[in-house]
Amino acid sequence: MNKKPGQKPPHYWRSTKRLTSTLLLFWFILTFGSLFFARQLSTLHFFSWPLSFYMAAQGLTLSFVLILAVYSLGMHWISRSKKEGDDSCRKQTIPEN
Amino acid sequence: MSQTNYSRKLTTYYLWYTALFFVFLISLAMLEREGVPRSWIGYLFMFVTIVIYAGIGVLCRTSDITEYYVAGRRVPAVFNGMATAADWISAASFLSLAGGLFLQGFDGFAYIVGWTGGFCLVAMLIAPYIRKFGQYTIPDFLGARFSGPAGTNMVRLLAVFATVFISFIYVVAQIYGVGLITSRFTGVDFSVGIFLGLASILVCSFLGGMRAITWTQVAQYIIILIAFMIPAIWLSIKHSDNPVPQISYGAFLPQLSSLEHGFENDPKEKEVRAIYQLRANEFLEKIQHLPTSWENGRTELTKELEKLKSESGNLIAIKNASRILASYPSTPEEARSRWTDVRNSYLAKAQPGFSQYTPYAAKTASESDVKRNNFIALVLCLMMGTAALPHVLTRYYTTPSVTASRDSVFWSLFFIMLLYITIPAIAILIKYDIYTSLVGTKFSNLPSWVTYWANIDKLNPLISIIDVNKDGIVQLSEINIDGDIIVLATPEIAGLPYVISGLVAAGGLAAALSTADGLLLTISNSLSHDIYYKMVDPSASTQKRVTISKLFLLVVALFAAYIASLKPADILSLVGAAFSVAASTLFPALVLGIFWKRTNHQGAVAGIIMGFFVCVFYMLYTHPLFGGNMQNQWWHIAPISAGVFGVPAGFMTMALVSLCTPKPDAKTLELIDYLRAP
Repeated sequence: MNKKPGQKPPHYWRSTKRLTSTLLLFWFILTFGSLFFARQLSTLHFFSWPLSFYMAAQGLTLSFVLILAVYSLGMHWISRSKKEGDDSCRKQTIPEN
Repeated sequence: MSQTNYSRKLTTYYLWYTALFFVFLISLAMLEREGVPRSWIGYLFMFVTIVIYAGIGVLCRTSDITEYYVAGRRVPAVFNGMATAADWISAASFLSLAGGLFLQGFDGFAYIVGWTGGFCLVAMLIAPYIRKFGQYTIPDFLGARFSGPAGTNMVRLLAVFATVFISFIYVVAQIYGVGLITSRFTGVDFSVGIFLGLASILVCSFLGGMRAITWTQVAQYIIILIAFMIPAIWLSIKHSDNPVPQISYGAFLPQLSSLEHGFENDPKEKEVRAIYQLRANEFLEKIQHLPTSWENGRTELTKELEKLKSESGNLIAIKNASRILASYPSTPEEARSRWTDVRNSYLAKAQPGFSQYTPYAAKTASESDVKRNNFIALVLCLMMGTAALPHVLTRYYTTPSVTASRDSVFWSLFFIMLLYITIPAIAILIKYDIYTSLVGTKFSNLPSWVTYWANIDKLNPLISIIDVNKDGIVQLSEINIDGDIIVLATPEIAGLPYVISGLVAAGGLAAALSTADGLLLTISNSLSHDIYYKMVDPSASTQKRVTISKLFLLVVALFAAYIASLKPADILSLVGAAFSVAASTLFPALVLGIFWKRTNHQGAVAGIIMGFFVCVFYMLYTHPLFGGNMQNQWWHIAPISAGVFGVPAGFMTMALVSLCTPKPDAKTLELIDYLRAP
């Protein structure tokens, strides 16, 4: 934590941004998709619940927990792959400019 | 590692605490069986839990600055998650959310989706970067990121203003909740209840700051969870063979639907609804004949009172008549607005309700669209507001590392989820209970909980069941329940012993106290750290800074308690609005500050001000309480969701002004790189 900022490989930030934007996109489509089309979805059923009722009552909340679990694990993985050596990380990324 | 050992030690402590709490619960249940009166059990619950919280405060007392402001930055992710959950679960979440679902059905889910979905934004956009920054408050972060030319502190000042404004509205509502619960369950006066709760808040946060609050909040979370789960599990076992309420309630949805369909066509229900329609018509007539109808009404009441006084001398009847006269509208204008309200409420009751399980149910397709748009707008505001509430964000300063702060947001949402997925279950199971056991009973043997709750507040009864069509049998349309009592009355409705009612009240108290603790500390810390230390006296010693912070805490707490004791209706209705204000002022600055390097001081100043004004303007312009008019709404969006206009206004202003003014300096760019590094 005491290292100087300039030394960090940009790889870490790029992977973070990629993971964040993917998960946020998923979060957005899931939440607002199921709310916007709630009337259409209410004809479908999840066990005895109408699907849109279940999503609003519990389904979305449970999905949010899952999204954050994926984010936490993903960030652990990104940090670990960064620690294993900057070289191996650099190889996977597109050279700048 | 020492961190693992520390976690293990904490786990042992809290397991012991939970076990002892169960022992306490069982011994109270035995006392109840021995015939100890109800009020004593209520007193014991309030007293013991408040002593526990204060005790943790005394044990964790500190005057070390890092301990006081951020609990020494060594709270393990799981425990910080629990503390954040308690910090987050307010009196409203605990008491009113289930009631809201009970009364409004699908529309009430906006709060569940918004308040949990916001944590995705917290985790991915804000918390880890705040922790990496590693200072003390949210204005601290914004002030450093957007430091102005020649070190001006404009952004810090604006952020402190927003923090104090939002948190203060919120804390008044929590203290009000504390007063309500203590006064209902122990019978003490409302303001005495407030100051009892305040004493426990102060002992805790005054002595130990964030450190004491953290460990108290973990303890409070455990009580909140137990208090919510026991009645829910009991209800689930009572009505089905499945002890998991979160799953079993689904089976009741089809039954409720068909029951409600039956109520819609039941002749007795129709009779009651017709009477309501009649009353609505009477009021319409009175409104049309103003001011004569108002004068006639008043002379009639006065005459009646005179007659009573001269004839019978029945004191109770005289008292009643003079009370009715005193509450009679004092001007024709007042009569018009009050009678219109009464007429509208009768009109609403005269209609059979919409299905509560169909999303956005309304008469016409366009009304249904309006409902959908408002639902989504509210969800958006609650999500972005959550991600900008200073008292929640500061909690992520207290974890040992950036990684731990990410894990900690996951744990926060996990612990909040445990409670939130139970809320719909309670609402549905209670509804089933009321439909099947209360509707259709004779007025001569109403259950005792109805009489108990009806007698608590006689002027505005929390529950009233009036035999409108005089057939001696309870119809659904004759029941009026205040949503706020659903959770508190659940144990009695389910037929549980009084101990569980006490437990639920203690849970509600824990929810209100834990949130109030966090809010008060956030306010006093930003005043002492950002205003006093950073702006007034930068050379102050750490000892002095902690002392100043404690002083602010005392003053703010007393002031908030005083405001709450006045029972300000307008502030209480503002709580929902606090989310819109938080979203419009702080959210754009926090997100752009981390994710867009080009954002500069000028942009942040303009964006925060613009967001605040657009949001507040829309509320004043459209909310009848502030002299606005519903007709002024843009796209029929309700004033509580003003954030959907404030947030884009804030983002756009911030971006435009930033692009028209110089780039941030090298030091700021370096700070951003530092934040983004692991």
